[in-house]
Amino acid sequence: MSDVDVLSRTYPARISAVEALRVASKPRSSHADSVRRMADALDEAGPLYGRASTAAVFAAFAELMRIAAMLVDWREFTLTAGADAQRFLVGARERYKLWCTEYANMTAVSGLLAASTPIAGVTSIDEVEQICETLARQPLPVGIFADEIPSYWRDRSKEEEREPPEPAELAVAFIRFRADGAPADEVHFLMPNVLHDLDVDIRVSRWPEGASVLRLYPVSIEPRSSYELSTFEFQRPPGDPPYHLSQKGRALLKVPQAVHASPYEFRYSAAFDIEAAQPVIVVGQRNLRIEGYDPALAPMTGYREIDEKLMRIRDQLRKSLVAPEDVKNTLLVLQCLGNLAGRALQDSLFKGATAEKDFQAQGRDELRRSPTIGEELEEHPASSGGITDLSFRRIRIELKYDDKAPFEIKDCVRFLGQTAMYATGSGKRVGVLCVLDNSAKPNDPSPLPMASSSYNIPCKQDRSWSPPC
Amino acid sequence: MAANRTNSYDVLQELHGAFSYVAEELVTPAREELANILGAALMLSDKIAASEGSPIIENDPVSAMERGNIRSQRDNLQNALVNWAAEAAAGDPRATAQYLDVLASIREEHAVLRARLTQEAYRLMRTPEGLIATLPSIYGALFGTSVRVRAAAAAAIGKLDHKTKDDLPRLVYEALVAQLTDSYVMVHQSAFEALERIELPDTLEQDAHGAVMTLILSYHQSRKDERFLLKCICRYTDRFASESEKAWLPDLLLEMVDKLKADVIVEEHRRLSRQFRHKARFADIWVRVLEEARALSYREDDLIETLNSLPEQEIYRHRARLEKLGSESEGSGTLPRRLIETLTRSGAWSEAANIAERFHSQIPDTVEMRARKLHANRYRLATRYEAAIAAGRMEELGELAHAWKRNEDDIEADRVTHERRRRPFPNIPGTH
Repeated sequence: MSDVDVLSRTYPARISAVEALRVASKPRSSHADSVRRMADALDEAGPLYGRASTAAVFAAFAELMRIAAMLVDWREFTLTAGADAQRFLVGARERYKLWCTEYANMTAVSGLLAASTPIAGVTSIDEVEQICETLARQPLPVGIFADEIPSYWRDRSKEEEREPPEPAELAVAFIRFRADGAPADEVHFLMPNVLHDLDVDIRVSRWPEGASVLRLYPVSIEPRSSYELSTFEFQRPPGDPPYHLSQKGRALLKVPQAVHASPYEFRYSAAFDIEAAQPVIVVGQRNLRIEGYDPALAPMTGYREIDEKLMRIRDQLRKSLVAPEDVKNTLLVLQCLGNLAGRALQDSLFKGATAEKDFQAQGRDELRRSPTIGEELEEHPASSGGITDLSFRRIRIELKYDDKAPFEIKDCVRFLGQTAMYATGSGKRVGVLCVLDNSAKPNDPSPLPMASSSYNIPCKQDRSWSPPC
Repeated sequence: MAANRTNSYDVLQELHGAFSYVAEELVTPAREELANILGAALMLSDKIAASEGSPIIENDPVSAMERGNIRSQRDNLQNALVNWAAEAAAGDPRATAQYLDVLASIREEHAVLRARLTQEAYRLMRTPEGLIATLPSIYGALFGTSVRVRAAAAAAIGKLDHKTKDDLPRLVYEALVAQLTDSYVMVHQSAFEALERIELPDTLEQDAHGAVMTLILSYHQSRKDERFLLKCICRYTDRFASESEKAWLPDLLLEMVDKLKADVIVEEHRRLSRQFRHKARFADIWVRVLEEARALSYREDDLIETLNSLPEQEIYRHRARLEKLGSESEGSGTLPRRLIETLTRSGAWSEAANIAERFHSQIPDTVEMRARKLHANRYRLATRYEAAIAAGRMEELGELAHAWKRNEDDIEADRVTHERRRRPFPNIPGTH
């Protein structure tokens, strides 16, 4: 903001404008030229304010004065029987329409807009006096300072004018990206130490001057020693852009992953062998998420479908900001309970159970038997003013029993509140609920993967807290 | 080597001066000597930790200060060496590998140096090869046990250019978003800065949304860092607020903003104005900020810019407070005049005239102040002229117009009379 005081150079024009309008408003006045001169003076004064809104107000007011001057001419020609007096009225109206269009959305001149409305409907020369007087009675903002465009900004604008136009966009679009024939946007299960195919189709919008090779390279958080993924290299193709290019490559994972590890993630980027004047925009699906753990090679529960379901639950826990340690501990519990669920269905393990305590005792024994859980399983620890069934490293485990009628996974929602409360009371974002449906099954029971799920429960105290149970 | 042998403040100062700017000619030789440069930085760590230097003499505060100065000079020098090494290692695969080897081998107790090397590693990631080689270390550092190192890793990602950020795998952003919930201030603030202007995938954007709201609530409750709270509020409204939230959230957030100190609020004046200028509560806050004099002295331009962005009816609603502010403003010569502009734009002509009257009357009627008083009379007459028109007192206009002309004549006469005394050397241009 500039503090150049320009009031002394602008305000005399304002005073003269009011005086000219007041003189011109008199019925016998013929001072239209004087009004026009004062409008010109205002027009000269306005730009001294630079970008300040007062400049726009002065310009708007000057134009209204010119319109008023035409109305004064109209009145004078009518009274003196001058030739074609109506042309001044028509001109004033049309000019006013243009004025309204120009300033309709400018809040700084809203007062002038309201005051000048009668101009649009003027039909008699008697109204001219009132219009001039109304305009003269419009107070204007007192602009003291000029808001000048800073010199560096003016210079920059000139430089921008001299600069050559920006070259056309330089983009590499991944049209097709596949691993072993499957689209790259899915998580892939790739066996470690086995070579896999990578296929890539790209579209290059143009080839920068001087560049001969385009490279697509994988970016990953993994150490380079743990994988080998092809870097795709494309030589400059003949012909005009855009170019469609495709290539085949290989992917090799050198290190298998643990079940608790996140999938390998590779994101392909693109670069030319010279530094292009503008950055390369890379668009399209170019991520590879590869699971180096294969449930078939190292099963968790002994039931493949349950293993896959557990992997999905694991992924959801990770997204829900559950601490990695809690994800790991939850999976250890789920592995054990998943195996129990599989066996229960296969071998009718709970045929003799008649109450929740039977299920809890068997569930506890099953968890205790696991070498990864063993002595760290607690029974009936207190949490949130209640007594939880079991707990493993503060992951609360609730075991419920129902044998009244067959039910589905969605019917377990009624038990979620208690589990969530115990989890919250323990400072965890996750808890485990295991429900035994021991009712007689007249029809076939649910398939295994349907029998496990995860739920997000929003919490009032903490919006980011959403424990899958 | 000299850096590790000397305890002289002057020598350390010279060394720091020599390396604080990484000249292009120094990059190539530094590549050859990378091990020595990083070694020197590492050895300085020991000296910084041991606080070696001149002895502290009892009852001599200067000796303690000298020792502190030497320590901070070593600290600055270490910083300069790390910057130099990182710049040298960038773009050269062998040097990059060497830099990363040193980074990996630094022991836990040298967390400050590890953090510095981690933060400056962003320079290494400017090339595809450098990015591939460095990213695993930076990602690992995001989960480091040291708070400093975690924060430095987030800061390193924040310093990457837009294209490189776009090339980072999603897991990096998952880690950064998770860092928003890190309980250590240094870490979540660093992650917050790093995520600025990064387009996140939808699910992560939702997580970040929740995490930033949690930060807002937590910082609002603790009142520990008002600047950061305000940044969170601005970021949230700019980026995360959903359509349904926009109906009720601004009032809640403005309630929080209203409890912040004026000088803090001014720092985010543009973003606040963009988001909230149509809210009556924001106008209340802004007038309060204007009234807190300590914010005025150095941010008057920003304050007035935001005031002028408010709807006219809001300025008009606060006209009495603005008049009082303009009339009592003794520290600034420009504030009353700017408020005159603002108030007359909003239809508060009589309040503007009162400010001008007070501004004029405060200037003593002495020979020395005569020119200033005549100039102030201009504002007085102009505002009275407009106030008379607004009030329909058209009969006063003739006298006011004459008074204006007389005042202009007096100003010119005064200029001619005192020109020689005020500008004894007319050929030498003034400072303005």
